[in-house]
Amino acid sequence: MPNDLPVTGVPATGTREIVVLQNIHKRFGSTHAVNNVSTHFVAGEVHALLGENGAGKSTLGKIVGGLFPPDEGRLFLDGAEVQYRNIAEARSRGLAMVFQELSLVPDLTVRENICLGMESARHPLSLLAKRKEVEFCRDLLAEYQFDFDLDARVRSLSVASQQLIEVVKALARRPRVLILDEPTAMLGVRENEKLLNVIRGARQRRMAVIFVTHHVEEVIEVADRVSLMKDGVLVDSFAVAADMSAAYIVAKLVGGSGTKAGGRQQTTVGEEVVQIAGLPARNGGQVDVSVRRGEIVGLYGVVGSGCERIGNAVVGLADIRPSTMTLAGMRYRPANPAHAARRGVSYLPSGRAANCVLPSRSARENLMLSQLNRVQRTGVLRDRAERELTKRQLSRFRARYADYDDPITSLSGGNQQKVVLGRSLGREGVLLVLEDPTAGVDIGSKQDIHELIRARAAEGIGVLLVSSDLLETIAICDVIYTVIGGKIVRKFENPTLDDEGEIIADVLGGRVEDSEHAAGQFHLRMGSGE
Amino acid sequence: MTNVVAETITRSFVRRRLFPANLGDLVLPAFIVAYSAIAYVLEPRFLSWDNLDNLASQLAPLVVMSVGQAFTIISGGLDLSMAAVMSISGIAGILAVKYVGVWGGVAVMAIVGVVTGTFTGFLIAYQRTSPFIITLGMASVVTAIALILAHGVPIYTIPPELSSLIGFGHFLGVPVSFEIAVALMLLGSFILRRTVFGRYIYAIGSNPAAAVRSGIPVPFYNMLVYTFAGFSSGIAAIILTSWINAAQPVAEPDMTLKSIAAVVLGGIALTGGSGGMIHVLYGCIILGALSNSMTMVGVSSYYQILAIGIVIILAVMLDRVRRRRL
Repeated sequence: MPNDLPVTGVPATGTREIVVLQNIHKRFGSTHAVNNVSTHFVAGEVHALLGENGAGKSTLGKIVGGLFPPDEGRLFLDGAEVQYRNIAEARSRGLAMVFQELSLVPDLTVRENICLGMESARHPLSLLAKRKEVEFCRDLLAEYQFDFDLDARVRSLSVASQQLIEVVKALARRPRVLILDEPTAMLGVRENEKLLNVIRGARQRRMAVIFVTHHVEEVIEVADRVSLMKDGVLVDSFAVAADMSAAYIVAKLVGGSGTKAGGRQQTTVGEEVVQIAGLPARNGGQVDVSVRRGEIVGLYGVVGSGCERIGNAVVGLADIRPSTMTLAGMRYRPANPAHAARRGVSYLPSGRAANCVLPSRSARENLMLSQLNRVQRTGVLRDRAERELTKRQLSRFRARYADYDDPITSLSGGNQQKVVLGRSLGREGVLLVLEDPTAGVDIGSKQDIHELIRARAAEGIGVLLVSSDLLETIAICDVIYTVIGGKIVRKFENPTLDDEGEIIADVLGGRVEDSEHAAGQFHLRMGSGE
Repeated sequence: MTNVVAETITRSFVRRRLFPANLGDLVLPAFIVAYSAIAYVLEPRFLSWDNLDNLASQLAPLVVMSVGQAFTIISGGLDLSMAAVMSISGIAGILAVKYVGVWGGVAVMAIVGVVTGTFTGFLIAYQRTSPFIITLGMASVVTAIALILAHGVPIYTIPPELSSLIGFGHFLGVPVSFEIAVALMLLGSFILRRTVFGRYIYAIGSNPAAAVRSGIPVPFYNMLVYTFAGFSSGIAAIILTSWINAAQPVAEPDMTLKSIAAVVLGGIALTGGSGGMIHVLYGCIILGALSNSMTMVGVSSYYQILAIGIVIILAVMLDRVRRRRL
């Protein structure tokens, strides 16, 4: 870590430090989010900031990006100390930041979004130079090998595509420093690979890339250097060597304890809870997907594969026409999630902010939402029973909170996820449908959540898991069905990490070059000690 | 991290134990006290028992309507048909007195409100239509029916019991109409805070997609919200008819907007999902005290309308400032 003054005038072909941080501190109230961090970011280098949720890596990225100033410490850009007044000033100095939250205008087209803000040099009534914009966007997309329809409304695109457009938008400004704040949280395998390619492209164009992430495999895949952050402190920073294993990096981060092996305990599997009959199969026939008591069944496919539609059908949000469902032996045709809930099916949707959290309500109300029948008598809530149940569940989920009557938005993302998961876990029933139960959650919480899901299954309910996280799917599922283009490809019983390559081949359409490439990428993940 | 938790606990302890509520929550009561003090200095009769008694009677219909309006707004909607529903309830109830007696007529008012509200709620919740348009349309439909029933003129044959017992009656020295309003407010508060229904109203207003996905029968509860609003309109009809001694086919048409103003003024976000009955009370008191005091010191009604408009705009801006700080 360079504590001496920034080096300037180094030839552009060598390592040139664009951004230098010296003893940066940032506090939010009592939280010491960034604690005495000194580091530097070099042109043509991908520098990953790795750490759990709340480790301060996002905050550090935002300080560099000019979103807010540090409380203490100095920030150098090209050897000169800078203090941005606002993000626009940082942007004009060549820093571009891609946020976790999407900042696109959904009703504008891809082109309009990419060019948004670039008109600002002109006066308010000047006409938009459409042809120029189209040309500009085409060149830009070609440069990074994207093929988006420039005239498509952003609203009509998948979240993954939107995330990529967000990145393109940042690149359109030709920044010298590109800051990506957990950009892969929403992406499927394919988009993920695309994004990593973009990062490589940015490196080639000699940008300094700051890559905030909590996916260690991505660090290995794309980063040249990684800084590990923990509780606001930059604990270690080193170059990523080609032969470095994920386990090695994780061990450094968690202080040697490593991630616990997610060994599947054998649960006794009982009678069938739900059967979805007659789903179209890849080979032209039909497949019955069923979940039995005590069993965790996973549906796995890339974004847009249609496996989330199967999950939706089970909770009554979508209809899969050719199939008929039975629940506990009886015909089952749910009209909506409330209907499904009455039949004993509880549901954790993906998309925490959009589909789960009640932002204006407390953690307690969010947790109890689906379980009010446990704390009410003739429609009147029993306050003490509710508070007791809340306390009991939150401690069982190892959720970190100050006061369960505080707004849920005051909790960290991982703890919010535990609360909304608790909402569906706590409900009595026969079937649990989970979509991406650990999205955006740190490593420790992930383990907690997996244990909770296994425990719930062990109590004798069936679990249907629709996750875009393959490692998670393999780690906790007894059975995995691979899905592509709305069709079931294959069934894996008692899957292990050895099946990983084949699963990826299935969901990517079994094309040799795709599967080999992706499998290569995923084999790196196998080293992560799972 | 533990440090953080400890600190947050201390902070919430300070907030919860040492202050009764958020400091932001004290803005409106402070405003009411300050305003009353100024009004008292300008016109000491403002705080006389007679005037407070009068103010309470004046406020009663607005409070009742605002309670129902608060439900719709907390659920993320609004009801523009409340005054119209109040009118038709009054007309129908008075017309029914002939057949079912005085108290039967009163019951009819409440029932007409409930039925109309439920129908509105059905259209909104089960047909997935916008509350804004549906209630606007219902206001027109309902007003027309009231005009047809009453042949376009007010009905003045109000049973004297209504006027003496409800309109101008007192119980324990307080106007009965105001007591009814307070009772309804307490009922509303109980529903919102202590029942499953109330909890679901907040959920639907806070994030409807999450409410649906968590297994709440959203359309049913959404409909019930408008049923309750209709019920409030019916109760408002009972009070208003008794007080002005007439059932008008178009009674107090601007009271709908006033009820929305009171709810917003009291600090309930138009985006839904938060707020409670105490906010409704604040909003109604401010609106009522403004017009009452201005009348007393002789401000012309044109200027009163101007002042009330300005206060509402200021209230919304204040609310934004407060929200940003949170």
